[in-house]
Parts: sequence; C-alpha cells; structure tokens
Amino acid sequence: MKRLRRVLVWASLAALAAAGRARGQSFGLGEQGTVVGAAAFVGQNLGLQGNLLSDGYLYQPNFLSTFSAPVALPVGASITQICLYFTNFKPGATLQLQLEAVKFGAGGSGVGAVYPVAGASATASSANGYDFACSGPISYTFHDVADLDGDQIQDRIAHRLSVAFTPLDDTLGLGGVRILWHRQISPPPATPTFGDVPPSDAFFPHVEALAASFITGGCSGGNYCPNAPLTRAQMAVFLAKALGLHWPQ
Amino acid sequence: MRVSRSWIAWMALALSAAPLAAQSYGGTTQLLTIDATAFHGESHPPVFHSDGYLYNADPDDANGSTYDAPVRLPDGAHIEDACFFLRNEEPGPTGGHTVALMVEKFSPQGLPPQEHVIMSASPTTPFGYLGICRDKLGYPVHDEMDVDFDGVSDHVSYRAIVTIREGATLGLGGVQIRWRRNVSSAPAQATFPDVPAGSLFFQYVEALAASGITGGCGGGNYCPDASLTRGQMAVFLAKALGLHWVE
Repeated sequence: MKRLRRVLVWASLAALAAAGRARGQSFGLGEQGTVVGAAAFVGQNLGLQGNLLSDGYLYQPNFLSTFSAPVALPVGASITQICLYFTNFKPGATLQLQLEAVKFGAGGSGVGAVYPVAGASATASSANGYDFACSGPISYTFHDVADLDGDQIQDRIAHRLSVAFTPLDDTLGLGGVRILWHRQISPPPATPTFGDVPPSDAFFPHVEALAASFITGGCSGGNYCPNAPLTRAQMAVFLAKALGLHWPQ
Repeated sequence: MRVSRSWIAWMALALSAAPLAAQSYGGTTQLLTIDATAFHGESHPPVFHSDGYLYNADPDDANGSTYDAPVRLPDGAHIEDACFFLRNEEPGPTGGHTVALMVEKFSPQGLPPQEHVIMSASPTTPFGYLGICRDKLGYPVHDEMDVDFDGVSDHVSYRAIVTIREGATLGLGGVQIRWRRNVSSAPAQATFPDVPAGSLFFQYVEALAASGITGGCGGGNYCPDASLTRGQMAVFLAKALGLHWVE
C-alpha cells in the first residue's frame, strides 16, 4: 500500500483522463454497460478527496466517508443490474453501493431529499483482493423527472451512485461501477395520434414513439399510412429528423 | 467576480468527470441533468451534505468560491432553457452570487482561454431551496464556432458555473438544461443532382450524405423517388446507428 501511494499524483491524472467520461453510446435495444470509473467519485465530507492510487482504484482517506458520482442515462433506459468493482485486503471491511435519485425544486418540502432506488445496491465484503459484487435483477426506468415523494407532482431529479466505506480502513479500494441497461420503446399514449394506427395495431407503440419524438407527422389527414411504400427521399427525412444529423465543422 | 485560472487548472477541468448528454433522439425537447457531484472547485474542493447538495468549502475566501462542470451536448443541439437549483442554509444577506452557462474558446497559442457568457443570473437567496431558470435562450451548440468574431472558427467547450459570494453558505443541487436536436443545415452545393437545393428533401438527404449514411443510388444520384426495399432500409438503419457491437 505504501509503495502504491508514491505514484498518487500520476495515478490521479491518468485516472481522470481515462475514467471521466460516462459511456452508453451504443444504439438499439441490446444490453449495454455504462462504466463509472473511480475518478468520477467525489467525497461527501468536508474537503474530502479520495486517494486514487496507481491501480486506478480510489482508497478511503483517514475518516469515515461516502463517495458519490453522477449518472446520466437516456430517458427511458431500463437499468437491469449494477456491479461494484473493488479491492479488499482485510476481513470485515465493506463497501456499500447504492443508486440514488435526488429531488430538485424551487422550494417546499422534500427538496434535496435522497431516494434510494429499490434493489439497486450491492455490498463488497470479501477479503481476497480484487473482486466484484452485483445487485440482484432490477427493473428501473431512468427519467430526468419523476414523482419521488408521491405528491402527484413531477419533480425534476438527478441520479447518482453512492459508495459508503465502513469501517475506517485504508485497505478498501473502489475500482468503479458498471450499470447494465437497455433502451426501451416509449410507452404509447391512451389516445392514438393517427386514425389508421389504432392501439390494436401491432405497430402502434413504434409509430407513436416516432410521433412523440417529432420524427413523423403522418402522411396527411390525420393518418400515418402504415402500409404505403416509402421512397428513398421520405426515408432520408425519417432518418435525418431522428438523428439530428450532421453538423459540419 | 471570478478569479483567473491557470492553463493547467483548465486542462484538469476539461478532463474531469461529467456525464454525457442524454441520448434521446428526435426533435422533441429533452433534459440534460448535471448533478452537483459533477462540479469541481476552482479554488476549494466541494463539500457535499446529506441533501446531496454541494456547499461552499471556504466561506472566508474574499474571492468567493467558484465551482464548474462541463456541459456536453451534441453538435447542433439547440439550448432552450437552463435551470440552476440552489439552497441557502442560513438566512441573512442575499445576492452577490452568480450562476452562468459559458462557452470557452480553446487557445492553441499559449494564450489563456477566453470565455463568453450564454446566460447568467445573480440569485438572491432567502432561506431554503431555489430554482433559477432562464428560458428562451435559443442558443445553438457547436464544437467549433467563431466565439470572438475574428473571422476564425475556434474550438470551444461549454461549462456551467456557480460562484458563491464570500461569507455565504450556498448549496448547489445541480443544473438541468432543456435542449433539442436540429437537422443540420444544408450545404450551398448539392451532393446529388437529382436532389437539388430547391427540393423539399434537400436538407434531409444532405444530412444523410454528410454523415456517411448514404452514398446515393449510383451515377452520382440519390434516386429520391425510388421506393425502398426492406433490405435497403436495413442498410440505412444499421449505418445510421452503427449497430451493434457485441461484447
């Protein structure tokens, strides 16, 4: 451990460069993993800095502490599991990981309250060096707004990962967290947008998802014309509107 | 006002941890949430309390304390409004704080970076929680733009900033920026002769060509009125999305 700390400064710089960016840039509905590196975590206590050592792991400073990192996923992403990567060289010491939502607001009760996401937690407690621990299966849909406090008002919210080190011990290291998630087709409205794509239609959720994203306004007369053939030019409109392409440098 | 910072401090900031923009598509507005834990101190490390808010680490600093977070949005994104969520822990004097969205020019010639304000506000904060919002910003985000109007396109980045006045205990919960995508503007010269600048589809077809999603149908044309097979549709979608790298 002492040998590791001699290269603290360089490790910190390298880890900042490597681990700072959240991922999640794959498309489609397949499962993907967003990695939140140790360097993204900051301490909650006064002036607290974790020790990033040459293994890229974040070690606890000399007092009890919780570290947090922001999480940004696409709205509608379904989180299925979170995993905690750690080192532990002493029996009894634990790292507790929790995904949390925080309520924003302009006043009133409950602003700033932290809401743990049910089931999105994991505990690292083994004592055999580098290891990982994962939550059980989760089904949590990510949003930037939600009614956290059940008052029927949609709150603006943020998400973060928090990792608590216990007890006071410098043999615990946080490597990072991996969030497994996949995209979903947005839930369709109760009232259909187009007369010719009713809720009973197999394509209803997909067509409604395009309409809700302003990718299509239909073919005319309040219809979508789901069975009409598509020209290459019409295809270009769909794709360009969908992706917001491509700003020249 | 803000204190000047060294080039090294700026580089550390540029590399610091922050979430990417949320990746919803289409032209509807969406929120980019920048949590307080993404902010770094220019002169003092942040302090996080149990409400998850970031607080001023050194109220005695006469310069105040400034905290920054990078703002990452796609090229061409249109910023509609921005909200800073704050909390004042102690009743008392109000004002003197600053929240701001900035665009900053990278200077390649050893000059200090230059900043320009997209929006700023000086909140007065009674005891309790506060949301500072500015709407109708109408700001187009680009990775390169002529920030200083010298006729040269600059490499730029974007930041959210909170400066807490001396003596105050002010908390920052985070920032939410409402934005939407745009279809990129078309070039002066048409890529395909059969989709000229006067075509209704010109801007959209040019956007696909500029992104490498289509090279046309052959002979330099795009064949806009030809119908599309399911196979061709698969090529368009797979190219557009860069699908799907198996782990």
